[in-house]
Amino acid sequence: MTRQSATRQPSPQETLTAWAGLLFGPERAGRIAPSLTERIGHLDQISRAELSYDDEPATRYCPPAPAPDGHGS
Amino acid sequence: MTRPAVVDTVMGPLTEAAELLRAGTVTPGELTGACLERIDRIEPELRAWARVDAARALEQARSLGPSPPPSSPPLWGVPVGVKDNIETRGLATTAGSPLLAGNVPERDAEPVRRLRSAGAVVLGKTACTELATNDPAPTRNPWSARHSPGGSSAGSGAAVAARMCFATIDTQTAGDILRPAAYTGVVGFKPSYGQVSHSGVIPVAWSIDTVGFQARTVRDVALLSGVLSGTGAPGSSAPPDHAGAPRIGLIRDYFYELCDEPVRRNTDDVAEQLARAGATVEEIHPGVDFSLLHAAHRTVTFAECAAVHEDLYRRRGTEMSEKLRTLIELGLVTPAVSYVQAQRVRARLAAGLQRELERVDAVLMPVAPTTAPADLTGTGSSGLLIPWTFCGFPAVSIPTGLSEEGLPYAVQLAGAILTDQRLLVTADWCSRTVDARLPVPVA
Repeated sequence: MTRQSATRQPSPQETLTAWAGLLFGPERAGRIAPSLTERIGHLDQISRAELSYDDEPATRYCPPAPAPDGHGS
Repeated sequence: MTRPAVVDTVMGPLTEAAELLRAGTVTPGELTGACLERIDRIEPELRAWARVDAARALEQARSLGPSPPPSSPPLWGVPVGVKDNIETRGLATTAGSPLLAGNVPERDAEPVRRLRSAGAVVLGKTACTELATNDPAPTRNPWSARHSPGGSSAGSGAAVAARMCFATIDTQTAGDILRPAAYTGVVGFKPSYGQVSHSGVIPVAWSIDTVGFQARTVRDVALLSGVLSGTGAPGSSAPPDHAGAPRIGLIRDYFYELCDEPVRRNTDDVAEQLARAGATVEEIHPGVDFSLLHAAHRTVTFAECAAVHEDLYRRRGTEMSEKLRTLIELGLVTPAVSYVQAQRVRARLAAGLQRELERVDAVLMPVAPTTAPADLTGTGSSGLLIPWTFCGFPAVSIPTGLSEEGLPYAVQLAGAILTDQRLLVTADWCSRTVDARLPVPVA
């Protein structure tokens, strides 16, 4: 089963490019731009795959809370 | 002058050395001395070690005495190496990075503690790539100095292949054990995620990092796995013989598309050999989007690696290699939602693969797209290994012969999660059936 996303959100491309510029400055962001483009492709692929599922909200996998030793439980 | 019996033992597998030590045919001091002599002679060219602790190794070996106690532990007197991202008490652990110079741990990582408790003699730390990621180690492949030894556990593969030690303990986050093992002609084993404690290992990505081994035979890694996971019977040197010929699922989809023709042919040849020996070999089509799994792996790895090393990056990022710096920066800009989505993808696809793998004893495919590449600026491709590492499945690489160029061929076998023993029994059967018997690459 699939569903369509209804809300317009910033694309991963927009988000990451802007964020990289803020975090690392324009020169460094430009330097990693090709890798960033590949990364954005991966994130888009993952997002499209995940949003194509129509899980019940309560059954969605969520990473566990950390255990007291700092590792996942 | 080293006795011929000692020289012969150094050239053989770990399980045979352990038996000869227990029989008193060779002593821990002799064996450690012989390994250190080989290191002295070969290391300047191979650069397999980050540091060797010769004095302490000899002291430990001699303190064991010439003959074993009545109930000697399974690795009594066996010289081994430890990858440089696994902590060793009193011996610097730098994970292949000059930025960690001076990091001398006060205690052993849990796998090292178990190794020592089992009687092993730690010779030193084997070289690895920068923080066990992508920038190559200085190690050279013992089969050809112009070909990559792989990574990140580059020094370990080279050291085991060149008979500088009997085995190493290593880590895998992508293809870090099986790929160097394949490129250097030894056996590499990555257990199921969590089977061996990674307490005291400098992480790359904690939800993926797995401690495993390189050694000369499947029985060697089975022994190590039993000792370090705590699942092996004390003193057990081998998995039980397979009750019958195994059921093997050959996966060509996705994997063959990435491989060159000689590697595809080698894998098909191995599948035919196994079938002729009685195995049930059938091609299976898992129906899993492996490229999606690859994308999710990169997302999780980069984000977790950035979280692990953010502090080091903030302080000394400009001193990191361009590859590592970029990897951490890509992790730092990964949205939290993308990280969680990648973990969901991982869980979904792992469940699908688990169902497929439960139908067979093991799935068979190549380890890497080519034999060791003639490129020392990288460590080769981990694309064929990531699915199993990321999903936490056990996987083993076994050598299957030599190419026309004289470089090792290998195949990979993977099993369902927590079926490590069954996988090793199957791999042992396959390895003995193929019976590759590679020569020692360095005299």
